[in-house]
Amino acid sequence: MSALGLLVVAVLGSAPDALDVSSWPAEKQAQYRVFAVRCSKCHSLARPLSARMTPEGWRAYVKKMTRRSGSGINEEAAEAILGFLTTNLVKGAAAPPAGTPPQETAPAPKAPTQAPETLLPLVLRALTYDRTLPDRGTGPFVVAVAFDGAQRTRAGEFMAAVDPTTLPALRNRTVRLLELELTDPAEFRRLVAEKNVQAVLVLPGLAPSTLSWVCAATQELKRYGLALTPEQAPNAVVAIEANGAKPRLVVNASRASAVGAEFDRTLLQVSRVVVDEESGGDRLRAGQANARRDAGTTPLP
Amino acid sequence: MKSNSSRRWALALTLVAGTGLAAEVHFSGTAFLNQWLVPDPRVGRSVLSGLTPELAIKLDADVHELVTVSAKACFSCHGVEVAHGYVDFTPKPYFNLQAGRLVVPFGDFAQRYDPAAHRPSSKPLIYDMGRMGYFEASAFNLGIVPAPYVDTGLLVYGHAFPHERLQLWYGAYVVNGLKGGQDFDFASMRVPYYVDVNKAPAVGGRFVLTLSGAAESTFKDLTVGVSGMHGGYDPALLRTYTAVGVDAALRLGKVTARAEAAWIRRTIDPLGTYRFQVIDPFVDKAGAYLEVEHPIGERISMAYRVDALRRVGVTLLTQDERMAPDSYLLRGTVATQVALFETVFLKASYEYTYSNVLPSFHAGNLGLGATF
Repeated sequence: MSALGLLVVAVLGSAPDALDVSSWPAEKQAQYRVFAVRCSKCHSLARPLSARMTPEGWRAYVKKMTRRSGSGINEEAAEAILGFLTTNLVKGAAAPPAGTPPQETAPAPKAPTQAPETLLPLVLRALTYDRTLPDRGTGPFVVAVAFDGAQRTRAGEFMAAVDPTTLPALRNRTVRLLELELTDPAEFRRLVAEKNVQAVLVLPGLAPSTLSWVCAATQELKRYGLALTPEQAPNAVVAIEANGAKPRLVVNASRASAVGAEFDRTLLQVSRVVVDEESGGDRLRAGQANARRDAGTTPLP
Repeated sequence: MKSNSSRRWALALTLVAGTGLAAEVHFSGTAFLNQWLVPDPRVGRSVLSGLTPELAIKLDADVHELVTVSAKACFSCHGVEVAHGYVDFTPKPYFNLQAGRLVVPFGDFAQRYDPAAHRPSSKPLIYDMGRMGYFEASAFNLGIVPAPYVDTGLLVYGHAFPHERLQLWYGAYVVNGLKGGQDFDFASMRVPYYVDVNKAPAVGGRFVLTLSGAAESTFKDLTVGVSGMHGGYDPALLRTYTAVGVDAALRLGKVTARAEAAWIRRTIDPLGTYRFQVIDPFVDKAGAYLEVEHPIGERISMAYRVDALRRVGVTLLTQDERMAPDSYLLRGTVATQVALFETVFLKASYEYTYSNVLPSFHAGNLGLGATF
C-alpha cells in the first residue's frame, strides 16, 4: 500500500467519536451514532451536548435542524436524535474507559444492608445536584413519604426512625417529611398540589400496582420520584442500591429527563446511571458509568 | 449611532426574552477572540491585522408549536449589529416561512459562518470580509457575497425526501438586496437603519440535494447545492448584480471535503469615470475554494484550504492604481483547532496570500473561543 493509502486509512479509521457510548444499551448507541453523524455536519457536538433543554425544547429544536439545508435528517433520524438528546443527561461523563467491553446485561442489583431511614439523607443530597432545583419553588421542601394501607405501621416506624438533623438543606430549603397514604390517583394528585409536595418517596415494599401509578402520577406532575431499594429504581428518578457493603445511588436518566431534572456530572460520576429501554417501560439496563465504578463507590462530595 | 444601535438591540433582545416568558426560550452563543499576525510591513493598512473579538448571543423563543421568534446580536468589527432577527413559521416540512432580518441562504458556508463551526479563523475568500488581504473598497472590496449576508425580507423554504436517504431542500427569498454606489458598500448594508436603496427587491433561491449514508457506513453524506440571486444596488436602478454559486461537500469517515465556487456580475454605469476605458459595462468577480478537514485524535482537528478570488473589469478611480482589469488573489491555509475543554477551543492557522498585482504575504492566526 502506498504512503498516501496508509495515510487515508489511518485518518479514516483513527479518529474516535466525541462521546464513548460503547457500553450504552444498543438502542442508545444507535441513536448516538445518528446524532453524531448528522449533527456534526454543521457544528461541533459540544454545543448540543452541553445545552440545557427540556424534552419539548429538544423536539422543537430538532424539528428546526431537520429543516436546515443539507441536514439530511429524515423523520427516522430525527426521532433517533431526539431519543438520544432527551435521555443524555450524562454529557460525556458516563463513558467508560476505552476498551471496556460492552455490558449488555447488568448484574442483579442488591438492596443496601443499611436501614432505609438512614439512606434518606443520601437520596435527598442527590437532588442538590439538579441544576433545576432553584426553579422548583421556595419555602420548605416537602417530601411525601408514600405508603398504602397495608404499610401504615411501617410508615410510622419509618417516620419515627428518621433523624431530622441528618436531613440536608436543599439549596437553603429545609426538608419537611409528610406522611401520605395512597388511596387513588386523583386524591394523590390533589394532595401533592395542596401540600406543595416536591418529591415523593415510596416506601420499600409498596405493592407493585400502587407503585406503578404513584410513580407515573409523580412523573406527570414533574415531581421527583425517590426510592430506597433497587427494585423500585425503574420507577424513580433517584434510588439506592448496594455496591458491596456501601450504598450507591441509581439515577434513572429517562425519569430525570421526564421531570425536567438536569443532574450535574459530579453526581453522575458517582452514581449508576440507567435509562429506560422502552419509554415508560420498567426494564433497565446498566448505564455506562458503572463498569469503572463497580470496584467501589466514591462518596458524594 | 452605535449607541442607539446598541440600545435598539438590547430592546429587541429584551422583547424576544419577554415573548419567551410565555414560551420556551433557548439561549446560546459564541465568544471568539482572534489575533491576526501579518509580519510584512509592506502590506500595511490593506490588512486588518490585530486582535478581533467576536461575541454572538442568540435567543430563540418557541412562542407556539409552529412559531419561533429568533434574534441574534453580534459584537465584532462593526460594533453591535444584527446577525439575524426573524419570525419562523414552520407549519409543514415542505412549506415554511421566515420573515425579518434573515441570513440569506447563499452557498454552504452561510450555515457555518460562526467561528465555532469552521476550522480556520478566516472565511473562504469568496465569503470573506475583514479577514482577507486587500479587503477595502480601494482593492478587491471583500469577497463575492459576505458571510453572513443578513438582509431584510421573506424566505420561503422547505424540504422533501424523494428517497429515504435523499433530501431536497429548497428556498426562495425576496430581500432588500445589496447596495452601494459604484461598488457594493458592505458596511452600509450592515448598519441600521436597514433601509433599501431602491424600490425593487432582490430575489434569489437555493436548492440543495443531500444523499446520506447509513450511520454505520464510511460514506456519511454528499451534498450538492446551487444558489443564485439578482437585484439592483443603486437608487436609480441603473446598476444590477447577478450572483451564482455551486457547492459540494463530501464526508467519508472522519474526513470532510468541501468545495464551493461563486461568481457575481455587477453592471456599472458606462457613463461614469473610470481608470480605464470601459469596454464591458460590468465587473465580474469569481472565486472558489477547496477545503479538507479531519480530526487527529480526540481533541485536534486539521483543515487545509486553497482558495482564490479574481476580479475582472474596469477599475474605479478610487481604487489602488496597482489594481489591474484582471486581478486575483490566491491563498493557501493550514489550520488546526484544539478542543481545550468540551466547549472551549483554540484555533491556529498559517496562511499565504499571493496576488498578481499587490504584494504577496504570509500571515498567522491565533484564536481562543467558546460556545455556550
